[in-house]
Amino acid sequence: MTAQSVVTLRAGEKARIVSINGQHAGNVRKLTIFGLLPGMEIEVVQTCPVYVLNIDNTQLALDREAARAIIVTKFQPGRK
Amino acid sequence: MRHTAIKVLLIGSPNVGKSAIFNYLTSSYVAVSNYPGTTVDIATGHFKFAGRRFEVIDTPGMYSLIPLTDEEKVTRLLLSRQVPDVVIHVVDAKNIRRMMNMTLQLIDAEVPVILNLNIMDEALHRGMLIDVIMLEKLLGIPVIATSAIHKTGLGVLRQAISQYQRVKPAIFKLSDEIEQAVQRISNRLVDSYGLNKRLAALLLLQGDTMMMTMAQQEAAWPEIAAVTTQLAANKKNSLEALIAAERQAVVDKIADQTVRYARFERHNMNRLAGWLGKITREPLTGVPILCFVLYFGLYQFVGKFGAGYLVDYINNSLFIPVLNPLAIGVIHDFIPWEWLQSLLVGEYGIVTMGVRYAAAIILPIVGTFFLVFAVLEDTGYLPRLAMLVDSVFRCFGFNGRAVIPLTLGLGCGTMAVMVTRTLESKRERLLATFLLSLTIPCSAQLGVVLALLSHNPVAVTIWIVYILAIFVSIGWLSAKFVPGSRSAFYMEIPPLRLPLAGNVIKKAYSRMVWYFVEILPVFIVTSALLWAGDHSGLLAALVHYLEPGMAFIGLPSATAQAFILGFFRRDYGAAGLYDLAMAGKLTDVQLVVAAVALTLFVPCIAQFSVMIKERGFATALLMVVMIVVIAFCSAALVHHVLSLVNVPIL
Repeated sequence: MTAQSVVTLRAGEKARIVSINGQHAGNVRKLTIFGLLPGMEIEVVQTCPVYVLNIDNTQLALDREAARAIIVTKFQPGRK
Repeated sequence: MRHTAIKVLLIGSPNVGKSAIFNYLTSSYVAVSNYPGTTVDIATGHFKFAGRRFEVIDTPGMYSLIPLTDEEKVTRLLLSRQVPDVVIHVVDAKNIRRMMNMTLQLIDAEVPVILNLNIMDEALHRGMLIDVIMLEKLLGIPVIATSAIHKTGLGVLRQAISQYQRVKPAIFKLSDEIEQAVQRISNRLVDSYGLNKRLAALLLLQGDTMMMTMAQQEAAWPEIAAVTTQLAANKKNSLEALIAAERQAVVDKIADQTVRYARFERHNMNRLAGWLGKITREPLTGVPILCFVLYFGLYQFVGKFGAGYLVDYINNSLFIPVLNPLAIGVIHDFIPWEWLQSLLVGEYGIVTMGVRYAAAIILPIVGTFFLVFAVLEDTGYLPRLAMLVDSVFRCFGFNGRAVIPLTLGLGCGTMAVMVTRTLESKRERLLATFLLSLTIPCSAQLGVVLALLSHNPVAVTIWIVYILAIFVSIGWLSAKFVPGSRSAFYMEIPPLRLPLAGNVIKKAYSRMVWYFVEILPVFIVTSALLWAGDHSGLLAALVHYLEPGMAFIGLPSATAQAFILGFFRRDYGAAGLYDLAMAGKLTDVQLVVAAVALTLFVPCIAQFSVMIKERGFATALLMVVMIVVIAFCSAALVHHVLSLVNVPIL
């Protein structure tokens, strides 16, 4: 399992967050306050015009730059 | 302070029904909002219980104790400086896993906190069962489940507030490494921060700017900074994310013991809401729906029904034939002095002009707009609007979030400039204020302009295209020349909810009252000033002075007056123009030119004063000068192009 950015995922794919990269402390903070923390599970719902992620019971819209900072490992098909 | 009233602070993120709880507790109504930014000023209310008085303060929504926007800073200051007796942390029960992170921060801060699990109905609909008693035991603080919208659990909450006893809550230790760093920092902190030292140390580790500026005064600051740098070394994640993640692990452990999911059949209503949520979010279906919503909500309902039908009815069937003659009759019968007669019911009479403009021309338009906006808010549609326009807005240096103040600007620019506070960077607030003042017509203007032009579709089209072109070009240019970059877009997309008619009406009504109370005095003063100007001959001189300018943009001299009025209120000027057009004094070309000039023209006095308050005097003045120049040149351009091309349908 390789670590990859959320922007490489397609709609409907699920993944687990490994880390939040970011040059900007402010941008990292925005993601963490929404619960986008290492270890959390996410599902990509939509990728255009912005990324929409499901995390727990929240739907979150992010632009590409913010989504790029989220590094995840994809769940293998058939495994949970 | 303690003997006067017990201070209760409501805090929580946006979309958790905080304001609804506030309204219940204080039984007064302030707008309940579905998007960040409605609680612009801090609302305070009172209630009495068992002979004691309680003061409840509603705060701007915040996601974490580390503030990102100016609004969140306000909440943080309230928390640390006001020393509340009870803090209610309102959370959305279905998102308890995410939101309890802040509850732990509050517990770390040793704040007297009660956890309020609100919107329990939605959690139940998802089959979530929360063991409240277990949760109380694990957290060591009172936990109250409510559903503000169904009015359940609210009495219990009120009782819990009034019987609150300070308890020693549980302590949630993080990893040894972090705890040691916290210990080393808090040992060196001498000053008082309004928060306890453990949380102060944690905030410093997380790079909280408010805390950093204060702690830099400490004698031991170099050592404190060294602890942070040392801890941050060789970490894959920032300390902030690391601490949040460790706290999340604690939350997860608590949630695993208290939250269970029941198996259940999905209700049809839920499936419908899910489907609607999906199609309003995806671009292929979302963009047509957005156009549909704007067309029916704004054009048909506000433009046609509010500005057309209602204004016609109230102005032409109520004021002109009935109320004005009645007022004139009564005043002429009882007041013998001509000067007072004309001040009250003359051409610029307070009653015949000021009150009529406010009640007959402006109120119906603003009222219908606020109704539409309240529906958009309460359904949870606004965040979807924001995400759909994000990619367009980035050309103007904004992110999609700016759609909220800009759309609100279509209602009232004054309110919208206040709401620019929800934008993150100074640059975005500056750009938004400028575009709001220059290009976005407020609902009163919009209504009057549509009423003026709607008999000629070509005229409406020219006006819309031109204003859009100005919006795009000025937006693009200012984004280019104002230094800085746009901040990342992130926004919670709440589930679509069926709005409660009562809430929508109350919200629209309370905003209408706010607006009316705000504009009526301005309209009265403006009428009186105009009357004075008219009597002293000053107005005629001013109009005379402006005439060459008016001639240059091809407008009759009578319109100069409307523009002078427009300086007091843009909507007042628009209303004046409406009167002129109804008297048949303007051709269609002149109407288009006048509409363009008036839309772009300086904001009203109320908006200008808010601009000064929010952006500073120099910036506000510079903006107004630029706006006058742009408006005048634009009008001249439109006039000369239209008279050159000679559009046949105009």
